[in-house]
Amino acid sequence: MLRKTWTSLVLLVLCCWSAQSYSAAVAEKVFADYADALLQIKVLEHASGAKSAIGSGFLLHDSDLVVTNYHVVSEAVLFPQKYQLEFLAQNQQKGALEIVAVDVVNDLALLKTDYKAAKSFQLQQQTPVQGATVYSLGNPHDLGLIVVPGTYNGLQKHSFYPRIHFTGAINSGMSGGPAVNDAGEVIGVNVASAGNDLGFLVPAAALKALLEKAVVADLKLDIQQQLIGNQQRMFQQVLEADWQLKNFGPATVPDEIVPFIRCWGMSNVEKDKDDIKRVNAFCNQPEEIFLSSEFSTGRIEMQFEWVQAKDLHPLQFFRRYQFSISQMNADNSAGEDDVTAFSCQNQLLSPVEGQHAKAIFCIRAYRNYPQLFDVAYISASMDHQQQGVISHFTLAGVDQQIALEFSRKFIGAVVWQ
Amino acid sequence: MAVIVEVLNKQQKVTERHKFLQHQVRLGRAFDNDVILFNKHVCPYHALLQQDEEGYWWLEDLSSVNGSFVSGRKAVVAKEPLRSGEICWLGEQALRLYDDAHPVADTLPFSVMGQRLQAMGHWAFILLFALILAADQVVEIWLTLPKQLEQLWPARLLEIPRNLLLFCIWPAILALWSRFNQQESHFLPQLSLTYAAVAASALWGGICYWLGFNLDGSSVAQVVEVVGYTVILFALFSGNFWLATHWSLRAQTALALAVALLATSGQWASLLTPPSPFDRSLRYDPRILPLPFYLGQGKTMQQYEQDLQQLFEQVEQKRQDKDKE
Repeated sequence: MLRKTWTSLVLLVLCCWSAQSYSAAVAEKVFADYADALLQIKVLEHASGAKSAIGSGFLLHDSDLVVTNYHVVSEAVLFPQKYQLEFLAQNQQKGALEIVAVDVVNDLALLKTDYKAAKSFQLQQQTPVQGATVYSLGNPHDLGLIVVPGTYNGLQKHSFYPRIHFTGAINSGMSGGPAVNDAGEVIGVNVASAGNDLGFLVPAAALKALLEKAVVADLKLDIQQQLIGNQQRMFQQVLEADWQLKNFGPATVPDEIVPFIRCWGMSNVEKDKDDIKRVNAFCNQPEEIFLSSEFSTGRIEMQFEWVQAKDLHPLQFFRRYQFSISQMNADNSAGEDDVTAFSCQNQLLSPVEGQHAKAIFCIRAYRNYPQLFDVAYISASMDHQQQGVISHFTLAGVDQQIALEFSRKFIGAVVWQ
Repeated sequence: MAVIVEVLNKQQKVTERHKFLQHQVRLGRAFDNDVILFNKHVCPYHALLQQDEEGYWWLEDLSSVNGSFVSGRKAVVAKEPLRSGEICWLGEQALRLYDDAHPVADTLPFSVMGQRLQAMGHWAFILLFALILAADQVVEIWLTLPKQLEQLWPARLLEIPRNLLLFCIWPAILALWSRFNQQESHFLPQLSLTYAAVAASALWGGICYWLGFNLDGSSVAQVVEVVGYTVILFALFSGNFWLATHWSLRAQTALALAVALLATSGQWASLLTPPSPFDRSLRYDPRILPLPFYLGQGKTMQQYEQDLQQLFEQVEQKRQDKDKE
């Protein structure tokens, strides 16, 4: 019995040892085979000649195409007069790059180069199995090309955008590098990290779709169409869903209406001394679409607050209540050249007979992407002297029709019982 | 024929007035002069005023250390003629000479306005305005102080007398200014006027709160609010200047308007400047009162959506306008 245990223990140790050394050996081979096809991508400012962004990229198939992230090269896409692209190969060869196509939703960019590598990357045809070892390649913090072994953990849950969950350290500068399997086939493109060995990859399927797409003349128009198409897909799900409502104090409010919108809550009810009790619920679709370093879009956020007073005069209550609706902020960042200023409409709304709410609706338009708006809405119910429900949402990058349909459905969902 | 000698200060305001029947008036620091001057740069026997046979007056310098001067700062070498109403200087001490036939300005009649303003100085008015002010502050504390901070009531109430005292500074400055210009100080009327204006502002604030809520925070309500504050301040400063100065009505009005606009310039600026896109916090009017305070009808969902469509059109227009620039 004892001997058996020993044997199995020794076998286990041997297994682990060999697995580790096996993975190290593969990593070494992958790196040796493909180091040639890995490039560092630099965005250079014309005027100063200094680099303003760096990332990784890789040669795909036997073509002259380099793959990287859109967020690495966004400046050169949006301001071609101001920025240019340059690659640096492992053998210190340098050269120019040209933008062919971008996919802002999946954060991908295709570039053209005259650089030739002995061996370039291929896309993997089947999805890997959960737990498979994946090697992420890139150039973190401009420290030189490295390989990071990690684990494939399927697609990220509760995410609208398909992203591969990669357990391994992806660091800044590795963006745009490939993540490959044992055979050196690309399963995804490094895109983001949530710290602590939690990385995300854009699946190869999105890259395949971009490769198959027809060449476009106007990149900005193409970006606008991608944004419109994406928000239509997202809101089709949101608007067609049968919204799950939850009880929230005296009213009902929307809950996790689609899988990619998650909700949290908190309150101050345990603080007995406060003359106002506040219960908060918060839902969002937190993933943003990167457009430029100061402009992002694509988020959905909903917030609810149940404010309840005890023994306050109505005038006292409403003054405190006002404080809860006095500060509403945009949920996404945008620069002066990206959007107009917010315009607001302020109204006393009676969505249902006998129910009243003060509703404030603010929008701003995207300057370079017509038909797209950021929307912010907040309303405070007014039918009670000692309590009220505040409901708030922000939508980033939606068109007028979706904004109105969402508002209608949202206002209809926040009902006093 | 008598002669009047006025001793003037640096601002050329009269500090002494002497009347002489003789033909010669001695000027200097020594005590046996006819007009005894204080200024240290004046000699004990500095100058002489003398009337000739034809009745004209002459200023004669008695070889003084710092000299004597007539209008235009012309130095007196031996003696210079002086006409009625002219200023002369002994060193830097200014004097003015009048003969008794010199015309005087018309009598200033009592004005209704001036009398009313002065009547406001009655303590009953001051008390009334101070009470309104105090009541407004008590209401504000009552509205905003949370129950869990109830122990702060005494501290907050003590702010009221402090604020009332603070509002005394402005009338005190005006009173000193009047005094300096050798006019009546009118401190109590000025104080009453100031309290009245602050009380009116407080009441106006309350009315505008209600108005803003009823007009759904439209820009009309905001403009009316700022115009109201400007009018109140304009009235205050007009009254202040009426009591404190003898300027022409036009000068008083112009200055009062200028000061009122200056005092409300911040509000005007925030009203007139377009919001910046860098501003992540949105600009809107969050004022809310219990439903019975709302006179209108709530919008139905259908009307609301029509309004929102208009909003989208406006913003789209704004985007295109900026593109054209």
